[in-house]
Amino acid sequence: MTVAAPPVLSVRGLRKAFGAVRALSGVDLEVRAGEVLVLLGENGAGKSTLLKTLSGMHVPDAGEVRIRDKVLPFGNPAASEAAGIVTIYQEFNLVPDLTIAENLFLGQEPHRLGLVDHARMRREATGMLQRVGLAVDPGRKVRELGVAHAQLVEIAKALSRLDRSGGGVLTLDEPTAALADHEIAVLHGLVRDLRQRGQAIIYISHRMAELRAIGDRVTVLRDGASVCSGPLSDLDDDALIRAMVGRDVATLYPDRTPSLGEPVLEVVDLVAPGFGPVTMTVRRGEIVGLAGLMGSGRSRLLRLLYGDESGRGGNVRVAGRELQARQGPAGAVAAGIGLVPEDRKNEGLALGMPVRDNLALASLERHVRAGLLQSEGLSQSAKNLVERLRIRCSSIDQPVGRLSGGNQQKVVLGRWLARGGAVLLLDEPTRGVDVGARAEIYRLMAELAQEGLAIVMVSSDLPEVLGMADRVLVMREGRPAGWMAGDAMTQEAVMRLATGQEVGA
Amino acid sequence: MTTTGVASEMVRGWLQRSMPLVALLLLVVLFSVLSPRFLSLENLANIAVQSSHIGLIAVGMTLVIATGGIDLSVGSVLALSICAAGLAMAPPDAGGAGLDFAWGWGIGLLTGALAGGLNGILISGLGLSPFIATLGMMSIARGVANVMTDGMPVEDMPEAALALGASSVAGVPWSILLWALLAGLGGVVLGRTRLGRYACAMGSNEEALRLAGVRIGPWKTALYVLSGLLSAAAGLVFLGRVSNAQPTAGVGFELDAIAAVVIGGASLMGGRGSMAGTVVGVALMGVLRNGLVLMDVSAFWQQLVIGVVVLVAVLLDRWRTT
Amino acid sequence: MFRITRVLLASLLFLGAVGTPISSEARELRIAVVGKGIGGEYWSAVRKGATKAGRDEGVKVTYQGPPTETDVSAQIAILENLIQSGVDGIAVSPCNARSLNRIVRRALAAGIKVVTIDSDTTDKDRLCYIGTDNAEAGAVAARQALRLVRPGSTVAIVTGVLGAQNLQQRREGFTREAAGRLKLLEAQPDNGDKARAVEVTENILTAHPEVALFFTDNAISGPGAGQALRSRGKAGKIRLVSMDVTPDLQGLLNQGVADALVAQRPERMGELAVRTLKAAIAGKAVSKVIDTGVEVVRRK
Repeated sequence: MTVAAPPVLSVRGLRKAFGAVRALSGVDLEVRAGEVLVLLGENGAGKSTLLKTLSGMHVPDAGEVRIRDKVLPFGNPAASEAAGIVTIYQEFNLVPDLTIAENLFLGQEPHRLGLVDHARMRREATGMLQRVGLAVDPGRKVRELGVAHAQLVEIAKALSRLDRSGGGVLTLDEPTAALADHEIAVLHGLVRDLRQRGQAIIYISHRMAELRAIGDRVTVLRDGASVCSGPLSDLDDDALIRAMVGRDVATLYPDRTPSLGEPVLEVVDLVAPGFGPVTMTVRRGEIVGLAGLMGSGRSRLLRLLYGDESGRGGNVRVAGRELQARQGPAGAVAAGIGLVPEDRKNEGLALGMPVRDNLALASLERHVRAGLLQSEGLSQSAKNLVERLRIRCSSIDQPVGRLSGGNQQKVVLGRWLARGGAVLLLDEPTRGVDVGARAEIYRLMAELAQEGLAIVMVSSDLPEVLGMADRVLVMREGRPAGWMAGDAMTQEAVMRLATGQEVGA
Repeated sequence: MTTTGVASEMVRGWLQRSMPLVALLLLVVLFSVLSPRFLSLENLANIAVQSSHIGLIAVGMTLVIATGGIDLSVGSVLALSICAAGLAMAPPDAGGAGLDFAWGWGIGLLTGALAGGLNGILISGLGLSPFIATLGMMSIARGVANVMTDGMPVEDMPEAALALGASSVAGVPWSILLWALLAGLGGVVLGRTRLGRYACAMGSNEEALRLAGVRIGPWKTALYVLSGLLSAAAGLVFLGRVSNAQPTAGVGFELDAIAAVVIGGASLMGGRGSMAGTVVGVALMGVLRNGLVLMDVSAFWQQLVIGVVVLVAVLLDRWRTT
Repeated sequence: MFRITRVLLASLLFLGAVGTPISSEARELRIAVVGKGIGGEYWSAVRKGATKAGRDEGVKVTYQGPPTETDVSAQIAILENLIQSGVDGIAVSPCNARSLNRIVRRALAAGIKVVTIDSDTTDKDRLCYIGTDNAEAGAVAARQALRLVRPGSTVAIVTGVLGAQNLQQRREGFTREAAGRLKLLEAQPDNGDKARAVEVTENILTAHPEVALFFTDNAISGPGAGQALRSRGKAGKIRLVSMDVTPDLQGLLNQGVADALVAQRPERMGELAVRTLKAAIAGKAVSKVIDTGVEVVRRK
């Protein structure tokens, strides 16, 4: 890396306020060619405002952005694109019902005699896909692709836009949030490859391990300002977390001394097509972790327990009472099970409804007197939960969709606290949740276990599973690959079981 | 956020919620200025009576739209209900069963509830989209009404059967009282019962509600039953106003009701709706129709103006949500 | 926020522009014509006639109508609003003959002159009914039939609904005029369904191959019968006389399937409604029934 090379992108003193809210209050950062800059910050720290300002959607109040030493005009998306600022957001901008080729050329289809030149489009699309190592037919619809492949298509599209602008900055916003481990490896390989070829990259993620694997330098945002910049190798995890949350987070995972009670969830020979048999017993006060690769059946086990998939065989007992699958989630809830689903926005929350209603969704019948809901009781119970879970909201009437990811997740958890039950199933409880809120969710899980709840948790974040669970069940290809507990729980051991390397041994 | 920020946010919120009411008041002022005959108790009562049957339908429609659904069958169910009621009450020489009016009303309401229940089963039991299911019911109910009556109006209703559309109690027309009562009850259902809260939750995120352990089917069916029941109640008012039971009644009522609900601030995507807003929406359309006739505006222009008002309402709606 | 207010204000101003305050023209007579509908050829003709007469007579005429021809409650609401607005005269074509009795009485009680056009109320409380004399229209159709076939020929009649009063009068007029000169088969109903009209016609053709002419007494039976004649290869061989002129029937006429159409005169109904109302308002006596006559359309 030559020291003299000017940064591809440099941001100086960027400020932006929305009414009384200061979204950005002094952001400085730079990215050089052939470098991956990791952008860290809790939700609400200003990352998305920064990205939107760079791509011309917001006009900042003060500051300057330069691309290759040329000043970037603000509030002009076309100019930003022409300058080579290309961002891939978590929610893809692909049209599911168009083909890959059509998506790649959306808005600039090659024409011939007034008609779209499909042959040329396909030819060039194949080339573009090769660059990202994707060998699929460009005539396939995007809908048929998995998340990982769709993302590669996005990247291919982004690269062609970068080419047109003569190189610029590629921003990836939490690109691995929805990917399985082997897909993450492919993506990382691609990012390294691009870096090698001199591409400047901004990489946003919450996963510490990932950042270390992929990043060169880091800039931390807090409350709209860049509070810390430097080479990643100079900063340890504690320092980064401190910079992000502005205080010491003593330890992410609370100390627990589990006091196990009687068995409350008993599963015997649970089977379904392509799944099982699983036999397990979870006791009061216990946290069981479910690990495994994507598609290994971890989440499916939760769904089967919850009655969300019909046609299961075997026996499920909750607090000694048999639970039938055909009763569906309503039956599971009645038996004392609660589920915090993986996809908060689509499965967990009524986003447009107030915090209060979302908290009460599973326990409304408790507040009915003479057929009418008692608003006093509802509000009081909501306020208690907001206080206990430290949910940050302007009031219990605020639509839950306006809350940050962490606070939304606390609302889903709070719903089951409001109901009270025996078993809590958590599917990726901290996905998309920033570090500060994560620590609070872990603390809460510990508290709930202490109070006698049995918790079954699925997570792709291995440190999280190992940090919270008393025992871990590793799943592989729909079957239990093995249990581990105590000191035997290590990342290596879990990965060996999850990938099946032990089978031959 | 600063205190002034909070205050301006509150004012903004109030304005957003009250926009339909503000528009209604502006219209009332405008018509009062333009026509000396507009602002009288008699005329306002006129408007309320004319709007009451759509108002009743719109109460049920609000509940259904809150779930993100729609009920296109309301007009046909109204016709079917009054034909069933009419055949029950008409004297034998007019082809009826000659039953007492109370039986006739009961049969009419039951018919509406059954049609609504069928809608609910098609939607939550067989998984049809509300649009398709109620579109089918729209045609089925109309067809049954025509078959039952041979396409002819059922005449010679007993005088008592027409009370809801034709008589008053203590100077207040029954139709207004019924509308006020059921809109009030509808508001309570929407805001203060599990049914209402579940309706909004279905519209906002049905999957989340299901995973919260709520059995969607029975609740949703109940909402469509209510919509059918309210269409039948609207039918009884209608019957009183036109004095015979016509199988052709109610064509296009679904569109008026949907427009009123949307003007009132509900979103067709579901999750949001208010009974007060719907009442204002119905009143707004009633005031427009009345005021435009008072001002000698001809029918073509009336259609145009009402269309513009519906579009403005939807634009306001979009502004509200952003 | 301000943008929205502007939109709202603009639409209100627009409302103000299309409506005219009554107070500024207090002396001008105001007459409202209320049809069964607001679109369509027929009602456009009524409106055209009324508007023209309004210009001639110096009367302000507005046209109103429910969104669909079956929406009786909307028609009643329009009449209520007109009574409230204090118009001087109303011409109405009832969507339902019985349902409008009460509101017509209310209008009369409020001192408003009321006439019915095109069809009448059952109680006949109005000052005057202006429309087709259906018996006479039937007789006109019979005279056309007599021109087309030899005396003593067999004639079949396809009707809409047996109970409908206006159709019954047309058939009676036809029968009276044809008595002794044509052999009439029993009238067969299609219940207002064109597909059924096709079937009925085909059945008649099978049962009575000697039929020389069809008379259809409304705008739905006519096209049905015409279609059956054409598909059986009888077009032009067996004659067809129908009531009404619609694009359907006009087409059949041009193609040589239909031979004569007896048309009502909606434009004249609108015109006479306004003139009659003006006379009544001026205190002149008006006759109880005014026949607007019919027009015969034949192939050129």
